[in-house]
Formats: sequence, structure tokens, C-alpha cells
Amino acid sequence: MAQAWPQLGAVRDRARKEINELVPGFFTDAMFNRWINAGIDDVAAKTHCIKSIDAISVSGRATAFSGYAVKTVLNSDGISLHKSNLKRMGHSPVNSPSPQFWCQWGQFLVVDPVPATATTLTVYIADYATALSSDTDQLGTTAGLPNEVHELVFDYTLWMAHLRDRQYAAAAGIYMMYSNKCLLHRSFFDKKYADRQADQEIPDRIVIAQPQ
Amino acid sequence: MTDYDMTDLKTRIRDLVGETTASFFTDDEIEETVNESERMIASLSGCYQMIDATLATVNGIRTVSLTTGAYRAVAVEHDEIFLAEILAKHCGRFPADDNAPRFFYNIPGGIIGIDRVPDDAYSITAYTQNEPQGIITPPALAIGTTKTNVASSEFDYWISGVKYTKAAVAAGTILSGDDVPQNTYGAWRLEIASDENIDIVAATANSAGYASAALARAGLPTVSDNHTEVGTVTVINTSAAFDPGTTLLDAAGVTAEYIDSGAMPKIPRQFWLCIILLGLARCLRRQKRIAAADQIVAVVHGELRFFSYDFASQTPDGWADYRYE
Repeated sequence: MAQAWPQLGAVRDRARKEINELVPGFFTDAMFNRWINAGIDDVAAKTHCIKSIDAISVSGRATAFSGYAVKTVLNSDGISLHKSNLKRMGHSPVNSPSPQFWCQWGQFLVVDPVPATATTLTVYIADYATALSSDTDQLGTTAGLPNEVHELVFDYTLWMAHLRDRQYAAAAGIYMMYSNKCLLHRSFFDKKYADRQADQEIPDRIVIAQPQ
Repeated sequence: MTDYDMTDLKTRIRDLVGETTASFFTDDEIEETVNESERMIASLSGCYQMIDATLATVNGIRTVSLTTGAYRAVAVEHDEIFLAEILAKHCGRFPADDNAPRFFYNIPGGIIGIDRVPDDAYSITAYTQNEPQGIITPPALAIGTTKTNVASSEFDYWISGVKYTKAAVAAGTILSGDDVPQNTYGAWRLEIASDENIDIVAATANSAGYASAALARAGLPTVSDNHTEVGTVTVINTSAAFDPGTTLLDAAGVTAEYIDSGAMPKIPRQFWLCIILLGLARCLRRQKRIAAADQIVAVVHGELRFFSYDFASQTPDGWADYRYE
């Protein structure tokens, strides 16, 4: 039965075409399924493309969280906490006993100051993906990956297939391409800067720099 | 997400090596490689990060030993203030009002030095980069033939690079500790040391109970020194309080969950691919495919650099990052 992209079966079928083994033999379906799920996890880990918003109650210095990375923390008033680091905890100016600074240590969210009472923070997390188990499970709706990174899962699967096939030069080429794409997508999902007020004003003149 | 245990890791390495069942590469060899790889990744990336709040200084003693397995302390906290990191050559030279911990430095071997020399037992918390305890073969935890106990099948485990085998315990290991109130969760960890005895550690607030199994597991203390984790058990009793060692694990109203957590890697999951690739590289070297092995190791180093930044980077935001300019 023809599989529709981006279902698990379709990703597998496409990989089989690319590796030129349409019927399971040297590459079993179970292998491809393992690589596709590993690819889903790796893409989520490298690009931080799956974002969850969790309510976490903190009552001490460090609280465990689940996910790859904490991206932003808001207090109960909806104001973002300032991202700090461990060495600055306890040394930064604070104006209340509620958490005002945060950083991450391993799987812990670390806050400063230590809250006097339990408080709930809204935490934006680069989260784990969900594994696919059935051929009709989808990279998007099941695993949680945004559309723009689905091709990366295919690249990862091909990389693994070439490694098994001992095509190490081809594998290296695919890995470089895959890795660079992950970096590019990470920059899309993790923007660094907000617009400035000046970006919303029309300037007197716009000069486009010409190459020398 | 896909959780890997030792069996999964071996399967994935064999996928890439092209040997589905043990022949040229024995299971023991692959298991040894998996554990070596996990230790190497942890040591190169510093990704296995722990918080140890059990430390204290000793009056008149400058040094404090970190928990067994800690490589170094990245930060040390006393009285809700983080100490400045110095070098040993700065001891006694930086200003301090008293002899409470103000500065620290690392000494190779999992030891920190404190300046000034403490004049009392001060509680300190260390944020450390650690060596993982080791991935065991799946123990298949389940209810024991003695139904108050947790059974385990035969499993292999490693302590400081030495392999041990624990025989199956069909009758099971008895749970212990405080009663868990009705309709709340309690958690216990099974641990094992080189003496091959399974030890039970209870979550710190089992006497109050937890709202969920996940919270109960999060309440477990860190693995004891010189032990490796076997697995965890969480229990809820909707009929009455749960009395560990007395209430049957299959009694009416009791729901028990057994997780072979010791069989899973301890380092963060974004590094698990590196365990598989290093396993592949070692197998390729054994096959004298040195160039291919080197290429795979180069990929691993690239992967470590990619993710290590996330773990090592402690770059804070500046004040201007939060101004609307």
C-alpha cells in the first residue's frame, strides 16, 4: 500500500529507493524504523524545533525538568526571568524574594534568589520528540517535528544506511550536509535578537552597500 | 522519544557493524564498549551534570572530597551565595571577612579546596561534572515470588570499569523505609555495589507521598557512592497506606511500576548517538578498517562540540538584552 509522506512507512520507502533496495533484505524494515526514530530524536536535539511550555513549581534552588534545554522562564506575573549563570547566583541585585534569574545545570532549572515559598514558573523548553511505532504515524502530528525539518530525518536515515553498507565516503558527505542543515535550522528556531524600535520607523534614506 | 537500554544499544551497533547476532563481536565486547564510550563522552563533554547538596567542610581542613565519580566542581554554593573560583596559588591572598567558604578551587581527583581554611562545618553544595556509573544489562525488575519484594533476573554491571554478574533473585529484594500514605506515590531505587548485594534506597519524602510517579522518582537521592543503579519501583495504594516490605505488590488497590533505569545510559540523550558511533568505531578498528574508524571518531568529536556548547556554555544575558531599544 502506498504510504503518504511524512508517514513512517513513506520515509522508509523513500529511503529504500535511495539506497536501491526496494524489498527488505540487507536492510530490514526494523532497522529503518530504528534509524528514523533515532533521526527524529537527533533532529529535535540539534535544532530545538519542538518547544513545550511547562508550568513548573519551584521551591528550592534547583528543580528537575524534562527536555533538552530551557529556553525562557516567566514568573507568575508573566515577566521573563533574566538568564544568568551559576557564578552570578547570589551576587546579582534582587528586589523581591521571588526568582528573578535562572540558568540550567544538567536536567535542573536553577533560580535566584531561592524562593521563600513555592512558586510556579512558566518554562519554555526545547523538548523531546515522540517515537513513531506504526507505519501511518507521522513525523509532524505524531513525532511533533515541524514540516521544515522532515527532510532532515530522511538525511539521517540515509546516513545510517550508508554506514551499514560501508559506504563511508558517501556517509561522510551526507553527514556533513545533514549537520549543516541542522545548524541552519537551529538559527531559525533559536532567534537571538528582537526587532528594535528603529526597525519599525521608515528612515530618511536607505543605502544598499555595493560590493567593491 | 525512544528510550535505549543496553539491549537496544547493542542492536543499533550491530545494525551498523553488519553482524546481527554475536559472532566475531561478542555481546560482552559490545557491552564493554558501550560503557567505555559513555565514560569517554562524559569526560570529554562534561555532560553528566549533578548537584550534590550533601557536602560539608571540616573545621581546620581546607579540602572537601566530592561524591565518588565527580570529575570537578564547576560551581560551589554556600548559604545561597556562589563562591568565586580561584587557583590554589591565590589561597590566603584575597580579602575575606571571616572563615566561612568564600573561594574554591579544583584539585584533580574529585576534590575541592576552600579558602579561607574553614573554622566550622559549613554546608556547601557543589555543581559537578561526573563520571556515569555504568549501563547494566536489563535486570527485568518485577514482583518477586515473595510478593512484598522486587525480583531481578541475572544482569551484568560495571563498577569503575570492572565487570560483575549478579545472579537472578527470584524471591526478590525486600523494600524498606517509611509507609506511603494512601493515594500517593512512593519510590525506591535498587542499587548494587561490588559486593553484589542489591541495596534499597527510598525517596526522601515517601512518608508524605508524592502526587505522581515521576515526582516520586525525582525525589530519589543520588546514587550511593561506589554503587550503580539497577532500577526503580514506584507504588501507589488506593486502598490503604503502602507499607514497604509488608504490603503485597499485587494487593488489591496497589499499582506498582518497575523501570530498568540502570540499563539506560546516564548521559543526556542527545549524546546517545555518540555511544553507538564509538561502538562502531571500535568494531571497525578490530576489523583493521582504521581509516573508517578514524572517520567515525571525527564525527563523534564533531557531535560532542555541537552539544557541548549547550552544556558548557554558561554565557548569561546582558542587561541590554532585556531592554526595548
